[in-house]
Amino acid sequence: MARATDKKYDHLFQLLLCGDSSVGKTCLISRFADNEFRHTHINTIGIDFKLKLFTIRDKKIRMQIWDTAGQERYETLTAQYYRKAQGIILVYDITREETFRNVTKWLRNIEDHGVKGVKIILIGNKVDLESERKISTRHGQKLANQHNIKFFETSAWKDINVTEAFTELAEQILAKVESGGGRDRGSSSIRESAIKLHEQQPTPATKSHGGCCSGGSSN
Amino acid sequence: MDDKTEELSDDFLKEIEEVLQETSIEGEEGEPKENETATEATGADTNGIQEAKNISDLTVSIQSALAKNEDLEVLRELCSAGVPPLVRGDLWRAFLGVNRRPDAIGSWNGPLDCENQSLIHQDTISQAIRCTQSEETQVGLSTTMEEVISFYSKSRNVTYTTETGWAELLSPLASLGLSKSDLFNCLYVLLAKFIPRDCRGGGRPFDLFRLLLLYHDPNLCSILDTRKLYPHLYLQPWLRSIFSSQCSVGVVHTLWDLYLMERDPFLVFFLALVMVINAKELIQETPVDTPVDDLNSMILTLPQQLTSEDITDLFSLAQYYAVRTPQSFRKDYHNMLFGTSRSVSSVSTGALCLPVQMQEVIDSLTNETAAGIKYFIVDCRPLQHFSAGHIQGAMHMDTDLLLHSPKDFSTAMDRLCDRIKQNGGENGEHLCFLGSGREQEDQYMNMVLAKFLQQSVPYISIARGGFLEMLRLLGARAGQLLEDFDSELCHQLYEDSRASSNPSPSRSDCNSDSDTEAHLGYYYKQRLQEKSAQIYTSLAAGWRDRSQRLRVRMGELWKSRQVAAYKQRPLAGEEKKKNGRRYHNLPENVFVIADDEEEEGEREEVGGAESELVNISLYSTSPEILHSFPCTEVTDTGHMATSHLLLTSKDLIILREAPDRAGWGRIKHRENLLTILKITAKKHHPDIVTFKFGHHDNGAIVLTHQIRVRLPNTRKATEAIRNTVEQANK
Repeated sequence: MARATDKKYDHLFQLLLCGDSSVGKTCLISRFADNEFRHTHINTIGIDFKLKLFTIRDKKIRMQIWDTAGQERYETLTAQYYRKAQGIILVYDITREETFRNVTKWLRNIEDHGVKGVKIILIGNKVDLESERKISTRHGQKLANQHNIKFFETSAWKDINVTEAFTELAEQILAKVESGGGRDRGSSSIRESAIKLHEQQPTPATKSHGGCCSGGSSN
Repeated sequence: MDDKTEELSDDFLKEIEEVLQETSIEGEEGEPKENETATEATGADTNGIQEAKNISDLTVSIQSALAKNEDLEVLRELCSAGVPPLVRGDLWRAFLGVNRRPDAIGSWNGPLDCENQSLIHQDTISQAIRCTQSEETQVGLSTTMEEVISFYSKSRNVTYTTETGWAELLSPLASLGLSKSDLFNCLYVLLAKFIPRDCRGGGRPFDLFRLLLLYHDPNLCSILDTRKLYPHLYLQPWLRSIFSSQCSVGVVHTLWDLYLMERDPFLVFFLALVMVINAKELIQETPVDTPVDDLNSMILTLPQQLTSEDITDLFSLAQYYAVRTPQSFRKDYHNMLFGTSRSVSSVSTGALCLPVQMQEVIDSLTNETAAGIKYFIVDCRPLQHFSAGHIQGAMHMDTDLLLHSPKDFSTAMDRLCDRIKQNGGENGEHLCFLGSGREQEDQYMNMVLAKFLQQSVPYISIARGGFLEMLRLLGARAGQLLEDFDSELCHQLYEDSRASSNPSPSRSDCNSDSDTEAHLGYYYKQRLQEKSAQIYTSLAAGWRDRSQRLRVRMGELWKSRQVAAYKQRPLAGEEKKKNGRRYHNLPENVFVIADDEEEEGEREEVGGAESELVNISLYSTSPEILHSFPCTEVTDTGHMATSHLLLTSKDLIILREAPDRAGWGRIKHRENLLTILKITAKKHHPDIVTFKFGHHDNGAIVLTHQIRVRLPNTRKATEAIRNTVEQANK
């Protein structure tokens, strides 16, 4: 896998995936970042993350994708990471009703802990299991419309719509950053300054400084 | 606060209280009853007599030891080769300390009309069937158990459900032929001291168990989590009944013999750990699509395969895990699960891995000879912070690498893993992660931690409170213990470590420390050190055999990998042993009106052995003490202990005089004033004052425990207490 550590890039985006346990968050990330799929499921412990270098409209984007554990026991822990994210992908499993019902709960979590104006998309995963489907596309779309967010149905296994979903989110963030919308907003502006400082020299002071700003700007 | 006599809503509670009080003051009455029950118990079980002569000899010597009220240590030694069935009932009563408890149920003749009476009836019958074949005896046993449970349910105002485990707890006791009064008292003590609170649903005990499993076998923990087999499913029936729900009565007898002798309420967690870890291969072999319920019932019923011969091995294995676990979880959880005061704990439920109190880490680092775990500190603070001072030998893990240069990070991680392979493992170093103690900064550390856990690296803990807490605890010693210590820079970076606005975790840690210290009285600690010394020397060699024996019995074979892994050399520990016994042989310092013989193993004893000796006059005149009154504490078992009631702005302290050293005393209780729910005095004995402690739960008042004292200067004292409480409430 290409780890473009030392290469220059135009933007650093931080994305986060959330949703119930076993809806396929980790699989979606593996598919997108490494084009891999594992059939054996292993619970994510706490929080994990992957890097992906990605190009949209000739802009090199370095994506940090945070993978959160869906289990309830980790909710307090993972909520701390919400405020760092510029984009959040909320995932449910189209074959399990309760994961869809909990979407509202996750949206509330995002509202409580995330940055204002964070970009969100909704994903109904596992369309490869069409015969076991419990949540219709129409239902998913309706819920997304209610919250004014984009909606995708994907399959991490069959590689359906995965890149499209991530691209859409990246586009939204890019548009916001380029329009300057991210300037006064906590997350993206801090991240950008953090990147620049990081490229000069990654001093720890930068980090605590960044943390300090984010506290003040989450209005 | 009301200092007048309060009418308790529940008649039965009051009734018990009356009885308690009367026997407390005129304790002689308890004597003949006790002898009665003793003969009753011995008469009921005649099988033991047919055993070999040495057993009958042993029986005689245990009986005479019991009659002489010998120290529990003596009894423990006598029972090391096993408990003769004939004296089991008497021994258990001694171990549970119910010998001098009043006969609370005796005066009760109430109707059996509990909310769930039919369920109680049903459950006690099925428990009685487990105990004996004779139908006649079954009827007798189930009736007695039903009465005891109904009385307990009424007096505690708790509705019976099968999940409470009361019937399962009673049956091993009832089958020994204990009297109704003894059954009630034993049940009472068992529930108060050995069964974790919140033992239902997804409560705290199950969180703790998961963390312990994660500590010892992260791989298995992950497998179980992935298959959504959460601990409460199988653990609840184990915990609520100390395995009685799953094992035959005979096996439970052997198991409880040891269990009650050990007097470690956390032991059940380690026994459960042995059961689950032993079943690892079994779990792995089941197909992935096995329904959770099937997998659960497989694990749940594992203890059914135990036989009496396995119990010693099971215990040794449990001790093996116990001594390889950081000990501060006991302090963290003791009050929460077994404590008398329900203090607000700082333990968060969503912990990524087992937290260790900073004091334990520091102790282990500064005391080379101490038994227990050696920690290897992984310092996850920013480099600048690390350079301004860090623990000697700590490894710095740059968390920035994880985010910005994953390749370098994996190199660093491999390096650390190599190190663990060389020095770590069972008897070696355990990784302890140290952050700054600030949530914002430690997010990166959590990610690193998660990485290690995902790699199934065992023995990982996190130092609670981070470097902030460490600086606070080290104080002036920081310069000695930290390497490259730049005092100025360090305090600049961590200036909040000195500021009064200390982060709340460290404050409550500090509180609960002194709190639990008094409760725990070093008992477990000492016992464990002693154990660990013994075990490191004796068990490590026998470990393989024991596990193998147990496994073969349980239909399993060791994997060669595990055998190899456990082939560890023991740590030397002779001097620890001496140390470990130090507190043990001190006599219990209470005055008993009823009886001048020494009494051990009273209810309170389990939780509160010896605390540090303090000079009474010095202590009472220290600035934090606002008031001091001489008093006599009336203990649950009816002893009178000359004590002092002290008040600080926050706490009520009972300082008990040490009989062997005039002018010195030990802190027996330290209770937060805000947990006082009621102060009552009896009409006939206005100088006997009872403090009732508890908390509010959704508007309901939950009484957890009480302290009763005779205050000669009642009026003045209660007035002072009331004022202080009012102040504290503000």
